[in-house]
Amino acid sequence: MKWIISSCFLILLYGCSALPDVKPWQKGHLAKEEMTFGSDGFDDAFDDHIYFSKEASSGGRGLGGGGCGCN
Amino acid sequence: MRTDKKCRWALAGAVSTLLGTQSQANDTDWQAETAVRYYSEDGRVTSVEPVLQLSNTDEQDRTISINIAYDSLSGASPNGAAVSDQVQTFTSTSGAANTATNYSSNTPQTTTSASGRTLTTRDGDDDDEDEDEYSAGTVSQYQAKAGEVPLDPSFSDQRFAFSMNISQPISRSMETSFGISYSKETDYQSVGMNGGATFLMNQKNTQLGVFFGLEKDEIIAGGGTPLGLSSTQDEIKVSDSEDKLVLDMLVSLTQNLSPNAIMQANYSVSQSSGYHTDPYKIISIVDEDNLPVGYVFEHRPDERTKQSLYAAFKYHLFADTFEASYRYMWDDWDVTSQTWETKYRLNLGHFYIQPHYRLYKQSGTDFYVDSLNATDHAPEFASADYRLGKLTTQTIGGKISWQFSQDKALSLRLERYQQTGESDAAQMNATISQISYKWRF
Repeated sequence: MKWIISSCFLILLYGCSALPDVKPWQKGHLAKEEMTFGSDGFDDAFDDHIYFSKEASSGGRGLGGGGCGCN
Repeated sequence: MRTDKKCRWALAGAVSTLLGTQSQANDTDWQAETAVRYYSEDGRVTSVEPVLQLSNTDEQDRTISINIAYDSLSGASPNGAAVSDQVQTFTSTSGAANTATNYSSNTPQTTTSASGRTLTTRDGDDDDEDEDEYSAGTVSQYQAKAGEVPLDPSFSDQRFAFSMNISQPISRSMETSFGISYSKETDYQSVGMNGGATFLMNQKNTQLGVFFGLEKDEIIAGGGTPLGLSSTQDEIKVSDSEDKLVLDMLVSLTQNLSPNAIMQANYSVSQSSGYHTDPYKIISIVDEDNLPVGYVFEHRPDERTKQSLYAAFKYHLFADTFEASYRYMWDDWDVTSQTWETKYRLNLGHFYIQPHYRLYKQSGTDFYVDSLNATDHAPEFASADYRLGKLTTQTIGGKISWQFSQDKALSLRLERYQQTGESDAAQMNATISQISYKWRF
């Protein structure tokens, strides 16, 4: 499993070097809050708490966390 | 070098955008967001949670964020016992606890487990002398009718949660963050800390983040921690409280793909050791006719390692934002899950509407059972908690937000959550709603 994960990241890193650069003056849309990851963090925290309590998975977009009995 | 007029206008616009961003970053006002979150399962648990989040970014781009929440939970919760053709009777104690007592309708037989500060057990026949008292408290009985999922109707708990996070740029290409968290329930306490660093590369088109988390939990089961897989009738307690230690790591790569697209790929691993069992969940012991003859407490392994790969994508089209994500998670309990999620933010001037859809599918753990046969050997681990079985869930809903001035916004979320699975207890629908208000001061 470790080599699969390592390979994925190597491919990703290699892929990034081949991606076109976005110039600073082209980042008008990317600078919008809604285009950043975590812009819905306030809502996501509520969802993550529910899904952590009701499903067997957690984490992914952030640290797994938990901190509740969630019986 | 000559620059034509059209290009000069474009450059002027870009400089203006950058300056605008800079001035916004230098705004040292506090931003606050407060909400009331409401979660209600049809015929089961309801939770109401007021929450306040404060954040501030100073002139050195240091950001501090504080989150305070208090939630109150009450209602009915599945106790783990299987559906039966007979009436089943259980005993529940007050507090965040769930107790099991059963006797079949034909042959009264009492089994009692504990959770809660009090436990009084009484045989089905009142003239029986068997009676144990552990501490003061209220004991109530409830029944599950034939063919009905056994639910403890008196489940109740309160939770207070606090967290704080500070992030700070160290250089033009590196930012660090540090955070702490604390939460307390009647029977659960959690203390955590996290930290990490983000590296900006490739003209800030690439961000590589590495984060770590450490969490220490204490589980104080009401009435003591029951011995795993022991009969609820025997009331064998092994300790007053149990611990769990969780170590998390997340590696995150964010990449600008074009002036309108951005993606993120994450790998995370979470290793926990200690007490993972739900001390209030029980398992039915059934005879060859599938009739319950007793109950035992569930028992889960003391170690768990979860890993996940997550990818998310955002695209700016027209004046809106489209977002999609996928997560694949696996662990050493034989759970694998897939999660698909998508949102579309439709901007309408001062309003926006954001429909949301999420689909989640999981396989069950290798120790999930609906019930145990009385004639079989006891397994090493077993749980009848439907959340560890095969499960499919869907969330459908949306959010509407009104930004009625530059710094103030009012939002409402309303969603429907549906669960289906191999267990009867897994058939559940819930409403998720949140009203929130954001402002600066």
